[in-house]
Amino acid sequence: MEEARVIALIRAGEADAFAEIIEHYQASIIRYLYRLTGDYEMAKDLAQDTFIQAYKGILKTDAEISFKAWLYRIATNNAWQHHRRKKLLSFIPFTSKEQDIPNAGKQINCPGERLAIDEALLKIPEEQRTCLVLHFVEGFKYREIAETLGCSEEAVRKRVARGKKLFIGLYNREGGRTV
Amino acid sequence: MNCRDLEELLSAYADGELSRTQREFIEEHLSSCADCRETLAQFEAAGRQLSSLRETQIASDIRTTTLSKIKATKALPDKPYRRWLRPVTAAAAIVAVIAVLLVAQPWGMESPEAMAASIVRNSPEVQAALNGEEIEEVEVTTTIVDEEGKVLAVIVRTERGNAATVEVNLETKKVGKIIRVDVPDFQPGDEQKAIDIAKTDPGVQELLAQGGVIGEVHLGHSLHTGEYISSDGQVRQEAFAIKTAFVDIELEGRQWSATVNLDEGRVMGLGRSSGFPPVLAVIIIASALAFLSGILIIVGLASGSRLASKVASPAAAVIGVIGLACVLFCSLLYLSTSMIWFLLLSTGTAIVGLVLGTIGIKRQLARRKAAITGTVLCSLALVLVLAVVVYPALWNVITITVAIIIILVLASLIVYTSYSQLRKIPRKLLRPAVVALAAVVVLIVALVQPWSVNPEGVIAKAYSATESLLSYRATISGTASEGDGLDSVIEFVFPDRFHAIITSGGETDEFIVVGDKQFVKSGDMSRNMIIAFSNSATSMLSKEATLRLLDSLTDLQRLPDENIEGVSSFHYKGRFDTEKMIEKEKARLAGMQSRMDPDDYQEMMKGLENSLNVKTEVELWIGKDDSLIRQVIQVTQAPDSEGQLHTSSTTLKYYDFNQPILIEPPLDAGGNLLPGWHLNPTLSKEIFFDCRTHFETTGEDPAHQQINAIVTVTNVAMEATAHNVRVELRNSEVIKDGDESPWIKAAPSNSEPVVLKRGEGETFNASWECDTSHIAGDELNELLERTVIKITYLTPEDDEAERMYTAGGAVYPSARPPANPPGK
Repeated sequence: MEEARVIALIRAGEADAFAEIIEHYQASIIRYLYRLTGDYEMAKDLAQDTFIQAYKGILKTDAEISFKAWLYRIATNNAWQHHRRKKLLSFIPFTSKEQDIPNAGKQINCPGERLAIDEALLKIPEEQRTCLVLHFVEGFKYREIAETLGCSEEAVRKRVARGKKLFIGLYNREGGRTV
Repeated sequence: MNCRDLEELLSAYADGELSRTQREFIEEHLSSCADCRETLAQFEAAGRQLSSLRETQIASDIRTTTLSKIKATKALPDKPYRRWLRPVTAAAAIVAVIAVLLVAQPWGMESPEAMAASIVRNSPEVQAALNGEEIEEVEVTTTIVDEEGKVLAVIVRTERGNAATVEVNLETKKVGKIIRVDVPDFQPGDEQKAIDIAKTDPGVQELLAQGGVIGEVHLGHSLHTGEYISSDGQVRQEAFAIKTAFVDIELEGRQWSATVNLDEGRVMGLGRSSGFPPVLAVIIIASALAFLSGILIIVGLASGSRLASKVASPAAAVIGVIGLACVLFCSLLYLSTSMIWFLLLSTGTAIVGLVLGTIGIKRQLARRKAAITGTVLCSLALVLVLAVVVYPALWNVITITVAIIIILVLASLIVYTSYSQLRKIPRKLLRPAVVALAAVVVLIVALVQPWSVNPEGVIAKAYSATESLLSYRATISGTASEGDGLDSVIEFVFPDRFHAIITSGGETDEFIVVGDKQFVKSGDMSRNMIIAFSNSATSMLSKEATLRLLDSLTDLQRLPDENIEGVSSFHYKGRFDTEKMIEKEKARLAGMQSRMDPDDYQEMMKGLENSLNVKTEVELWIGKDDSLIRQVIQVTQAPDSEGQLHTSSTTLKYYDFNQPILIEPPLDAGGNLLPGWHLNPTLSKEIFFDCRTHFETTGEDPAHQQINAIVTVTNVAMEATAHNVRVELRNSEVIKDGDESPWIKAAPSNSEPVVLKRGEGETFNASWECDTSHIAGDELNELLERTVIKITYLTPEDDEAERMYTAGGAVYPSARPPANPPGK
């Protein structure tokens, strides 16, 4: 896919050209959001929002970073916002018990070991988790992560290292294999 | 290096994110460190586990649903012309807002002057008073009549030159007193005339000598109203307008302003104008720049500029800080016309920052935190502006709160940015460090006392409030460690009417000053004493003296607020900055050195040095609402020549601010002085002599004693020259012609007629024979000292005048014995 050509088409009024973008990115964006939220249905909703925002953004502004980084930035902000809302919700009384149990029945079936990895990852603070997922799951270089999150490479290196240390501790406690 | 410090590098090494040199360094270290090899292995395993999550299969296809949602939101793609629509609309909206602000001043923010003008123009009462003629011009004399500043005095003029003064109540929007008045017109040369007059003032001359530059000249009328009892016994009101000019003089970045009375051709006052402090100027410029660049960025965002989206969020944060600072510094000014523009500027800046911040958040631009910070700061600034507009009295509270907020924000920013560094500090040190930091903060807060109102600001406000006073009354009571106390009531009407009743040692003296005429009603003071006393009284008790006092206070310290005559007042204590005043005075003297007698100059300089030992402590009470001085207590300690300390204290109470006070010359209907009153000529035109007499007695025979009198007369006037000076002597005991005691003439040592310019002297000789056989030796000297010396002379106006002295010691001005007795 030639991003520049597609974006030019969209700006020229070809809304359907955006389908190419969605097709190209949807799997990785949904997976990314799933890793950040731990909730597959939510990840799908957030991915939709992300693409809609991206579409509006293309019409408005020339992004100052690459399209991919920008798309992931929108996705990241959406995930974090979701996280914050969920935290807020937990303070509101009278929510049903079912909603209190996070992610119940919304996970993708997977082998036991990977479940332990999932659980450990979800307990890591969001900034560090984001960096870990972007690097290991989405295959971003530190430089690309820095571009996406609008921070320095130094900060990314720190967050990855700290995130890994936390992950090791949490994974061992979750009952996974000792590494 | 500690292996713990290497963890981050090891992690990056495992991820293949190190540069070559870093990689080589780590590999070298790994070869010798088993612990780090273990850590690396853990990191690599974690990486492998996390990477396994890539294999998660995502089967969903959200393409169709997303596209249909996009189409449903009607976010139609922009056609080429539409791409220009947004920036053009944004620019047009901004221009429209600015235009609206400029043309129609927003609700409630109309300047007091404009409000007064529109009230007067629409008033039927004013129309009636002006015989229904059309009002051509409304001039606000910028004089606030009411203590609360709600009444303005204006001059209204019609096409035919009829004019009236009108008081306008801004609160009730009604007109008060209307008095017909003659308003003199300005002539084309008046500005130059004002400058020429200003240049004759010693204060202005000094400023110019120090490198001051004359700036703008503003012309206006100063308005005077008063009540008087007319010949038919009715109380009538009168008003008159004086042509006044304000000549600006700039010196070292400070603005001075000389008030010139063009009608009388003299300078009535010289004061520092309350210009913008430099910090404020910086903030105004910063705010204006922030506003303009913010608008540029908004336009850039609307037209899809890449640069604009990059800088939008940080710009929002910066603009937020500037906007907040702008609002904070507003509180240093009054709610005046310029303040309104300042408020508008800060409002505009805050709105621009708010828009930028919101866009930054909405559009997922970089530096999200900066965008949020900007949004919060700008909202805060807007809330503050709103609070001030609705309820101006909140100012002080807001100033303090904002100051505290800014300090907290800065402190948390510092902590936030240095957070990672903080974690590196060993725990043992961390706790004491935090405690120490807290202690420092508490100390600083205790020293700065952000909850107290800054005394310099209050004094500055008091200065300008006093400066704009039109009239007031004050009582003064003084006590001294020895000698008589002083009680006095003064009245002052701007610019040059002054009335004082001074009681001291059981005697009452009354002064009335109208323009350059001084009237005195006195117990039994000598004429010369009256002149001296009246001059010092007017200079000590005038508005200028109050301003001088405010200008020279230092070491101010706030005491608990107090009520003075029911007015809630700030209470300060400070001291008179003697050093500063002496330095100023020395500089002034140095400028006059060439025109002075060297001995006098030395003596005055020495006197100034001595006054360094004079300590004056000042307590003052300033009304909270109007910043006017309510009370001043001055305690002065001065050592005499023997080093003995003398204490005197003065209490001044001010009241009746801007009330109509009538001060009239003490003249009857025919223009003659009322009984007991004298008219003092001004000192500058008066001639005074220093008169010293020395006697020589010769001859052996007491019955035919020869007496020689040598009289030295020196003209010590300020400037006037005495012509045809003649000296005569009389003594009923020792100058006798039979039973008569005539005036005997003393001859000048040079040819007649004697002309004495300022500072010049002449010696006169007289000799006569006297029978001293019945007088004891030492008694003769005493008798001789009773000799009266009459100096007759022609004034510069060619009037014949005379002054009397006694040989034993002149009444005025010299009390000291002659340094070298003349004639020897």
